[in-house]
Amino acid sequence: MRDETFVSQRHFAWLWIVVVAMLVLFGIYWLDHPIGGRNGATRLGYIYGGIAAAGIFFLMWYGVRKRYSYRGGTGTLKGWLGPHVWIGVALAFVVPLHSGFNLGWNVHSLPYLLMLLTIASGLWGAFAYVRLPSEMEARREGVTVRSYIDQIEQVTREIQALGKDRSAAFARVIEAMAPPLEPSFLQLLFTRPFHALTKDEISAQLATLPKDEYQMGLQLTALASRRIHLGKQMVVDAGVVVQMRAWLYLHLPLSFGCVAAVCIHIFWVLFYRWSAR
Amino acid sequence: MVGAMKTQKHVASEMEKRLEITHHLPSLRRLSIGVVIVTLAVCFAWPISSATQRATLTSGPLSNHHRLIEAQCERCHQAAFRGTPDKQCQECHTVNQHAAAMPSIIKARPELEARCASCHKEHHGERSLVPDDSPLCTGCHKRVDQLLPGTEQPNFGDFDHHPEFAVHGWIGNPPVYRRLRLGDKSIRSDTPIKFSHKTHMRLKNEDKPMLTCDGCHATADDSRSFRPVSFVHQCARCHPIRFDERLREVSAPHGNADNVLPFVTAAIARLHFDDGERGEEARKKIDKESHDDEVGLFTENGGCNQCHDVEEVAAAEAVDGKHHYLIAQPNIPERWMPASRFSHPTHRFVACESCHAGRSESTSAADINLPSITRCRECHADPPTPGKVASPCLQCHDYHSHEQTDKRYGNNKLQTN
Repeated sequence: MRDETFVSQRHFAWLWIVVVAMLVLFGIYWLDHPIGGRNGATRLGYIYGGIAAAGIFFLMWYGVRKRYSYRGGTGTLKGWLGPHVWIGVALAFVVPLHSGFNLGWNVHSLPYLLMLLTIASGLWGAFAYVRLPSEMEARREGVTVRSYIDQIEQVTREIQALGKDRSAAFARVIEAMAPPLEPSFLQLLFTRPFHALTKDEISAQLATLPKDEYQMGLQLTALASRRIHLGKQMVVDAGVVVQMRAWLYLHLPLSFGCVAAVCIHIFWVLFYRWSAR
Repeated sequence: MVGAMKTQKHVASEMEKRLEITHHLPSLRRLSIGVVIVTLAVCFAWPISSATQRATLTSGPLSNHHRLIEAQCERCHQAAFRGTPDKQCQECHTVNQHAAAMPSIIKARPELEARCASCHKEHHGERSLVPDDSPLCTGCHKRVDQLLPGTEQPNFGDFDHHPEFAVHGWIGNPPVYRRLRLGDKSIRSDTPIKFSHKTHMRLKNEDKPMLTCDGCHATADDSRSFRPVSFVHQCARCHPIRFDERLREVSAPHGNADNVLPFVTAAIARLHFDDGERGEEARKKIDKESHDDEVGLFTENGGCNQCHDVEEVAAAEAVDGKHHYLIAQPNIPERWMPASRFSHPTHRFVACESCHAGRSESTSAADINLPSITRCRECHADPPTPGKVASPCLQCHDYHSHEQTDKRYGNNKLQTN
C-alpha cells in the first residue's frame, strides 16, 4: 500500500513509543547526579548500557528472523521493521546517555562509531525502501532491463553487419563509437551514462574514413548514438535495483562489526573494572 | 513468449550478471566476517600485543599525573576482575593519615569496603579523581547515627539541613576539648582580657568611627585567618605604658611582668643621675620611686589593669622570695572554627558588620561575635541553586583531615553560664 509504509505504520505508533521512552530516559539521566560525574561506570551508566545492549540484540534478531523464518514467529516481518527502524535510531541517543556523553579515541567508543555508521546506512536503506519501489514500479521492475539488453544486442549486431567487408579505418571508427558497454559498480550506484562522443569527436572520426564510406559512417553514427542511449537507460533501470541493495552491504557487515566491538567493550570493562565500584 | 524470454535471458545472462550488485561486491557473509575479524584484531589482538596500544583500552582520560603510567595497566590493576586495591595506591602515595581518617567506621563496618578507589575514581579525567561531590560526604552523614551509634553528629544530607556552627575550645576544670553549637547565648569565651569593641568603635566625630575593623585585624599569610592581635602592633600606639609623670615619653615593656621593675628602676635612676645626685641617699630615692611606679602600674587603677587581671604574689609566698605580679594569660582565640575553610579576603566585598553584627555593641571580649549558618545560606547553596554560589561540602571542609585536627588544639577557652 502506498499510503502506509513500514516507517509510518499505525500512524507512526512506534515513533511515538520510542520518543516517549527516550524522554523518560533523558529525564532520569537529568536527575541523576552520581559522584565523580556521569559516565558509563555509574549505576545508571550500567543500566543504560544494558538497555543499549538489549536494543542491539533486538535489532540483530530482526536479521535472524528475516533470514531463517520469514513467515514464522510473531507478527509479520514488515510489522517488526517499524520498531527495528525507530529503536535503531533511538540507540544513537541511548549510548551517549550510557557514557555520560564521554567519547574518545579508544576501544570503548568504537562500538558507538560502528553503531552510528550502521544506523546511517540503515536510514539510507529505509529511505531507499520508501522511495525507490515506486520508481521501479514505473519501470515495470527489470523487464525493461532485459529488453534494453536485447535492443542493445540488436543494435550491436546491426553495427557489426554494417561493418562487414569495410576498410580497416571503418573498423577503427566502430571501435571508437561502439565500445563494449560494461557498467561499473559506481556507474550503477550513481546512474552515470556511458561516454558518448561529441559532435567534434564524431566529425574527427568520420574524417578518417575513405570518401566512399562517408554515407555508411553516418548510418554507423546513428546506430552508435542509439546504442549509447539504450545503455544509459539500462544503467538507470539497473541502478535503481543496485541502490536498493547497496546500503545492505554497509548495514549488515557494520552491524556485525558493532556487535563484535560491543562484546570486546564489555569484556574489557568487566576485565578491568569488575569490582572497582 | 515465455519460451522466447527464457532464451533471451540465457543469451543476455553475462550482461545481466554485470548489472547485479553481487557481480561487483563480495558476498554479505564474507564482508561481515571480514569486518568482525578487523574489529577483533584492532580492539583485542593489537592492544594485547603492543604496550603502546594498551592505552586505547582506557575508558577515558586519566588524571594528569597518572598519565605517566597510562600504558602500565598492571601498576593499578593487579588481577583480572578486581578493582584497584589500596596497596597499589600506597606504592606511590603516603596515605596514612588520610586512610585513617575514619578508623572507627572502617573498623566497625568492614562491609562498607571503603577503599581509596571508592571515592577516587580514575579514567574519568581530573574532576572525578578528587571529586568535590557532596554525596561523597552526605552518603554517610545522612545516616551517621546508624554507622556510628552514639555519635553526637546529627544526620543531614544537604546544606539546608547542615547543623549550626560550633565553636571549639577547652571548657571546664579539668579542661575538656569540646565544640559547642552557636545559638546558645550562654556560650562565652573564657578570655580574661578586658576589651570593649563598642568603646573602640564609637564614633569619633559625626559618622567616622574611631577605629575600623582592619585597624586591628590584619589578614594572615594563609589568607584564611587573621594575625593575632598584639600589644606592640595594635595597642601601643594609643596605649603607651606610662609609669611616671616625669617620664611622659617613656613606655614600660609589655609581655613579661618581671621585666617591668628593672626597666623602671633604670629609667628613674637615669633621671636622678642626670640631676647630679649620687650616693646612698640617691639609691634610696631611686628604689622607693621605682617601687611606687611599679605598684602604680600593677595595682587597681594602673595601666596593666586596664586590660589584664593582675594577681599580687607577696615575697613571702613566692618561690624565689621576691615580690611578684602575675598577669593572667589573655588566651585570645585566633580561630573559633579551626578546621573550616573560610577566606576573609574572598568575602572582602561583604561588609564586616553584615556577618559580625553584634561587634559594635559588644562591651566584653567574652562575646563570640560569629554569624549563624543561616547568614551563609543567604548566598551559598548545595545542591546548586540558581542565583547562589554552589558550595559542596569541600568548599568549607577538609576531608576528615587529621592534619587540621592536630593543628587546631589552640588555647581557646570557653565558658557557659
